[in-house]
Formats: sequence, C-alpha cells, structure tokens
Amino acid sequence: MEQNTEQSLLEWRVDYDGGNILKETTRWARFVSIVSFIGLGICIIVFLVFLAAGDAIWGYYTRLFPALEAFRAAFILLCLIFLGVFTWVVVLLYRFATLTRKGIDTQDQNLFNQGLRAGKTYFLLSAILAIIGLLFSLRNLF
Amino acid sequence: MEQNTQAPLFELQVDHQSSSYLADTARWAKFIAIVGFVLCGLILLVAIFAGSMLASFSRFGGGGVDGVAAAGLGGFVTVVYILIGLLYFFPCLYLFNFATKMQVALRNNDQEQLGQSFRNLKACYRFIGVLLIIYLGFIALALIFGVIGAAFH
Repeated sequence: MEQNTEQSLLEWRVDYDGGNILKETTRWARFVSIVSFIGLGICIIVFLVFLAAGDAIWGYYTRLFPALEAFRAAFILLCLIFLGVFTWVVVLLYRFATLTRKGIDTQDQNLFNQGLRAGKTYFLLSAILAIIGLLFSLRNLF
Repeated sequence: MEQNTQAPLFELQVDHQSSSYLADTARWAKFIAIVGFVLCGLILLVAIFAGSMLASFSRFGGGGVDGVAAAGLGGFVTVVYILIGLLYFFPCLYLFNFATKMQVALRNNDQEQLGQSFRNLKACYRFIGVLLIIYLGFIALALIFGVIGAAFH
C-alpha cells in the first residue's frame, strides 16, 4: 500500500539479455566514437594547415573582395566553435560507451548511471545540432 | 535454491536516476529521429526533382550540356540521392523505435520493451558502425589506387 513509484522502479532490474544487448550497443558506440575522433583529428589538421597557409589563400580573395577580410575572423571563430562542439559530442558518446560498459562489467550502479547521463547529454547536443542542420538544409533548398 | 546463475551477474537497477536519464534520452532521441525523417523527405524531394532541374538547366543552354547528357546526369543524381536517403532512413527508424519502446518501457515498467528498446539502439549504432567501416574501406582503396596511379604516372 505504501509503495511509491520510486520503490517499484528500484525493483526493476537490467536483466541478463538487456545487459548483454546494452554491452553490444556500447561496443558499437565506442567504435563510432573512436572513428569520429580520427575524423576530428583530420579536421583539426586541415584547420591548422589552413591557418598556416591562410595568408596565401585569403590574400588572393581579399585582393578581389576587400570586404572578405572582416569575414576571415568570423570564419576562424565558426571553425573553432564547430570543432569544440563536435569534440564535446564525441567525448560524450565515448563516455557513454565506456562508463556504461564498465558499469555493466563491474555491476557498479554509479558508473552505469554516469554512462546513461553522458548518453542523455550526447542526445541533447545531437538534437540541437540536428535542428541546426535541418534549418541550414531548408535555407539552402529554398 | 531455484535462483539461476544469470541472476547475480546483473544486479543493476533501473533506479529513479537512471530512469530519468533514460526518459530524457528517449525524448531527445525521438526528436532527432523525427528531424532525420524530415531530412530524409527533403533528400527524396531533391532526388525526385533532380532530373527535371538538370533538364531545365540544359534547356536554357547552361554549360553546353545536351539533353541526353542532362537526362543521364539527372538519373544518376536521382539514384545517388535515393540511396543516401535510404541509408539515412534506417538509423533514424532504429532510433525512433528505441525512443518509443523506451518510453513505453518506462511508463509500464516493461522489461520486454526495455530489451527491445536497447536492441534498436544497438541496431542503430551497428548500422552507423558498418557504414563507417565501408566508408573507411573506400577511403583506403582510394588511397591505394592513388598511390599506385602516382607510381605509374
């Protein structure tokens, strides 16, 4: 009679099948995050090359369109924001994968919850990026 | 006595905190999936109209492209965009299934739905992972052929 919903949730366990499926999920999520880290590394190298050779590239265009000089700082800032947000997203995916996996392996409720929390934040950030992507697609289409 | 050997292996609980995280995750995953479905629709829209756009481009004499070449290019673009749309559709579908089943599981404390939900999340990441492997394979092939081409040039 006195049982509240929290207590009923506490009795609810991640069973053997659910745990194994979740472990496989984290394996694939970890793989995706590692490949994303590699992609991120390539993006950073390209960005650094652009910064190093920036004067040669921008010099040509700013001679044609002097107004572009003001855009250069904004472009670099946009690139930095993109790289920062993308890094954060990938780190969250990696944390979700590793902490959840570790939580299941060691049966540590705290680690398991930390992994799920990272997963939640990862999906939240991805949702924001998805809506920005959709708006850009619509703008380009019409 | 009747406890099976699997029971002590999984003592993790879906407690108040984790169920709250899972509920939020499901909500955002559903949102991402719906945005993904809209993007799929846009990609298919572009695929359908790619042929006619390229045909009208050639009619106005753009770039000296003749009608047959424009039709061929239009067909190619249509096929490529439909393929991209299809490849993008499946992870969105898995994500949507994950989100809806998770919401049902949390609402009803349904163990079966929880398992189904995790299974869909696994399918989503596996699909993305396999796509990434194929993509990396293509890049590796391109690099190999590039190096071979440069060596024989």
